[in-house]
Amino acid sequence: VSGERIPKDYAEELGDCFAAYAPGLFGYACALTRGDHALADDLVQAAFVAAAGHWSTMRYLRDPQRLRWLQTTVGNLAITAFRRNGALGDRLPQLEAASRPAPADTHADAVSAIALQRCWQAIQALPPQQHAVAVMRWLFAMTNTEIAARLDIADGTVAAHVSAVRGKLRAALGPYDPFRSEDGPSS
Amino acid sequence: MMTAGNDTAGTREDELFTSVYQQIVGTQAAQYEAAYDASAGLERFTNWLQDHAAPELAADQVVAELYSLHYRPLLRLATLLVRDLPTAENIVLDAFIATHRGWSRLGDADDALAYLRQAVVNRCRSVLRHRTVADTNPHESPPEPPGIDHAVLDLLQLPAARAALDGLPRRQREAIVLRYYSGLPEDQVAAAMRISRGAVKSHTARGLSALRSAVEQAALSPAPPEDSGHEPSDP
Repeated sequence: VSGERIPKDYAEELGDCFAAYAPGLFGYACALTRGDHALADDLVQAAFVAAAGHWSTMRYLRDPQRLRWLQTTVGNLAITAFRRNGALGDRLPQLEAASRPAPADTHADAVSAIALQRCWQAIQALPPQQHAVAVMRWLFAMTNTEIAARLDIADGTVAAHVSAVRGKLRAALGPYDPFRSEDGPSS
Repeated sequence: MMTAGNDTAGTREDELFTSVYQQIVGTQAAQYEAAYDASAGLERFTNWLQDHAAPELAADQVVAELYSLHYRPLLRLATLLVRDLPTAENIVLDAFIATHRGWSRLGDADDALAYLRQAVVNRCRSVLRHRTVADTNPHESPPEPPGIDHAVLDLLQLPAARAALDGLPRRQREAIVLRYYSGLPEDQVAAAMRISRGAVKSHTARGLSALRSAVEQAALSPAPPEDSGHEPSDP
């Protein structure tokens, strides 16, 4: 696909599409990669390279469909990156200590914003493979079996990661975890 | 509560975590988005697009190839039409440049050749239109014609036919030059002249019969400085 040659009118349309969606996709990619700007930048570029390969059909999509296609592609590319980086075991994310919580005007929102901020910190502290599993399970709605296949790890490993992340997110949610009373603190 | 799958608490908790992840990604994405260097990203992507651009690269290659294959036949065509080699050279070069420039609109090499021919013919027409003095310079003798329709080619080789060719109406001369000196099939002649095949046929036929009668007349009239192996005809 990437060996294809891009006609001039496609190139112009792709440039416009990039200008419109790249910033939003970069933000999304950063959130997925926990603030790895360089990797997020690569993911955005790679998504548009993929779009260039499919542009003969993509150019006819309406804007929301096109954006969804690009987001899905960024997500899939992120999984591929998770897998590669997970196998290498390094490339720890730069922890961004001071990311401001979103402004909140009601008390309930403020509480949940604080809880979410704590969750985000917990997510940033996850080991890479646990982060990959959590994103795939809760953001991409994949089953444990699908996750195991994509990351090329055992089902049992996925289940272990899921339960480990559960424990950390529960702790981060603290009093705002509705399941707190049902489950005792595990591990 | 009794959804399919794992433990029910897990399933409801999954919903909570999904919502947590979605909200976190939403707020974090908005913050990171503001930090994006959009112009650097666009420049990087634009560079990639340029590295993978179809038209320009293909234009260079294809036009170079067209040039090596078709420069001489097109020059011959233009020379026959404008009867002046330097002008013909300019016309052909100009046509190649126009083809290169218009490449992105042209598609493939076959279209490009048809376009080239049409460009040459059009430019020859406008040169002839602007030429007020009819025919001051003697025409160059064109090189070897391609091997089709030998009877006609033999006819066209005769000096009398060559001379009469210049006297033909413009369209008849174009049709004959394209058809026989450039050796094009009728449909390509039609494309180059932007007329129908039927019109090509009739221009060609009329032009040829005019040439034939010119040759016959030349043969009947007393020979000027005789050229071939005819014996002195005075008894």
